[in-house]
Amino acid sequence: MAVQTEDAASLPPAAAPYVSQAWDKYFRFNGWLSKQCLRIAVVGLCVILAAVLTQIFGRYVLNDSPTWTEIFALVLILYVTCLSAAVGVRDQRHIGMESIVIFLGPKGRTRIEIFVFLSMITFGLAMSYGGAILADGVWDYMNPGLPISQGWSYIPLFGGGLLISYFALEQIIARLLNVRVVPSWH
Amino acid sequence: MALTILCLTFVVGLLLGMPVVFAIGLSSIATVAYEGLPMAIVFQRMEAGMNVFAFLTIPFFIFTGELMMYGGIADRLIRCAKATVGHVRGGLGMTNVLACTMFGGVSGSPAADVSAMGSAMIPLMKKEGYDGDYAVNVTTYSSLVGALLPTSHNMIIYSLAAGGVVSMTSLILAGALPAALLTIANVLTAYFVAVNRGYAAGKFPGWGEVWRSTAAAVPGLFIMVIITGGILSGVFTAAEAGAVAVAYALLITVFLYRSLTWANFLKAAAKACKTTGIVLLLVGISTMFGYLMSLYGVAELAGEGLAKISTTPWVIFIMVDLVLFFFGIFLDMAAHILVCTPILLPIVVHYGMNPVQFGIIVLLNCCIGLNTPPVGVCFYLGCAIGEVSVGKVVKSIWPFMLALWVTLLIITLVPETTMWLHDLLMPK
Repeated sequence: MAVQTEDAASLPPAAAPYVSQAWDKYFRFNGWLSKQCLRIAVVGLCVILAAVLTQIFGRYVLNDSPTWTEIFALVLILYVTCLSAAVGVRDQRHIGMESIVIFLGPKGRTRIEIFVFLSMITFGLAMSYGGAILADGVWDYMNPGLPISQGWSYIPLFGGGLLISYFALEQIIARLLNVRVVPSWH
Repeated sequence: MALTILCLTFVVGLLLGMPVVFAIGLSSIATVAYEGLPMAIVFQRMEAGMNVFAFLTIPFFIFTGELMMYGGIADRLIRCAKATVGHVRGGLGMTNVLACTMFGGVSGSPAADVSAMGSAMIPLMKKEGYDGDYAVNVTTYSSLVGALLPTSHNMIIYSLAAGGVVSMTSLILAGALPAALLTIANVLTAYFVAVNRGYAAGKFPGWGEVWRSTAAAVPGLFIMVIITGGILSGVFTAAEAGAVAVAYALLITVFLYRSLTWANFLKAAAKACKTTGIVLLLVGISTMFGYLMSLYGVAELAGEGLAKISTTPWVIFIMVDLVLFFFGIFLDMAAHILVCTPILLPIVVHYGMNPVQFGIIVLLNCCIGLNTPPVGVCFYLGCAIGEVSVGKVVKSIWPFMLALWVTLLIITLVPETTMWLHDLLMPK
């Protein structure tokens, strides 16, 4: 028996619900996965920053504005967005409004929350499917200004959609086990 | 029928507590499925909506704000504000207004402003004998100015939602006077409430301290000059100005202030990524939602509905304000802008309002929403930081809310407050 996430050890005992070892490993793995997603996004953001600064440096200092920086930054921001958006599902940071759920009892609330997460899984799978179709459709076309396939712009939708569904599923499991998913990287 | 599906799935999703991005996404998917169109179209539009170079401004502005928050600018701004206005009656209230306004100029985010300034100012004010509710109200209302200043990433979101007819430059210029008006309104309200409650005046620390504290704060505030000057002069695009602002924030927090640790840099970057993911995904999916709304003529239908009540422009503008206020109390800023702009902008333009002026009105209405329950992010944040009950803060919120409403009315009914500086520097 152990606590549910990698950060949960720091929680006071009363707030650290106990689950079986298999579920504990599952939640720990998801915490690790979410942290890696965010780490990649942070590196991506820094690379985008460097690309845009290179563009300014090229234009004003070298008098030779690079043409690849803009499209490179645009492709990369899609990866940063989709990875971070998926982490946002795990951390429950996506913007919503106060719902009628507050008027329900604990059981009704859990049911509605599970329905909402099922809807998010549906959206994530649709996003993944749409991303795959679009990537496949333009894979043979090169990006203007950057020698990579245009399909790379749709891969983040495919991966991000799968991650959104996966992390929404974790939220459902957490509710069924009556435990709380703690964000992996505050 | 398709419009009913679009609206119904969206509203039901929201009412059930579904995040706005998924409510919009699922309603778009349901509508497209009903129309028999390929589902990939939703995600093609979503990708196209996110794939705009100007939107790189959003992560850069957020990153700049986070770096400045973790990099110790808050303490320097408070010291500067305290030295300048701390000796006035209710001096710490004035200090709070000035410091929040300056930090708003650096971060562009009211919520970040309340977090950074509230954590420092509210406990200090309480320690000096000010009531907790006063400290919370002064902080939360002063922080709103940030949404109208050049570092505000919500300006970029409005620019997108308006369909590219409003540039970032126009919004920066149009936001200047309303930001000044709002600051004056906040200063006056804080002062009169302070006098009414009998708060004492502070001691003037001398011109030496004023000079030293200002010198310490100026490098941080220079970020506003970089962004505004860079964009207005045409040296940088908005996204490039954002990148330069991040680089500058890194330079001053690491080398000048020496207050940004590696751990805090990572925290700032991670927070910037999280916010970027949430906002840009919403921006992307709203592109499809906006497209469907324009396809089914939602703006025209809403316009016809309003025209049945009145066709007098100022009445329509006030009704639009009320609609914006209503949505503002339920939706967060980005969602509010993205949902309301495509519907209401054609209506106000039809009645003669400039889209630039409307942008500032939308932002100001979002600000009201930030301080109004049930969503009111800044409001709850302030109450939590100040450890003051929501009920107590609500009881004394009225003078501050009234000042904000009066400012909004002036900006709505007097176009010159937004357009004078804009037209002066950007003649047609």
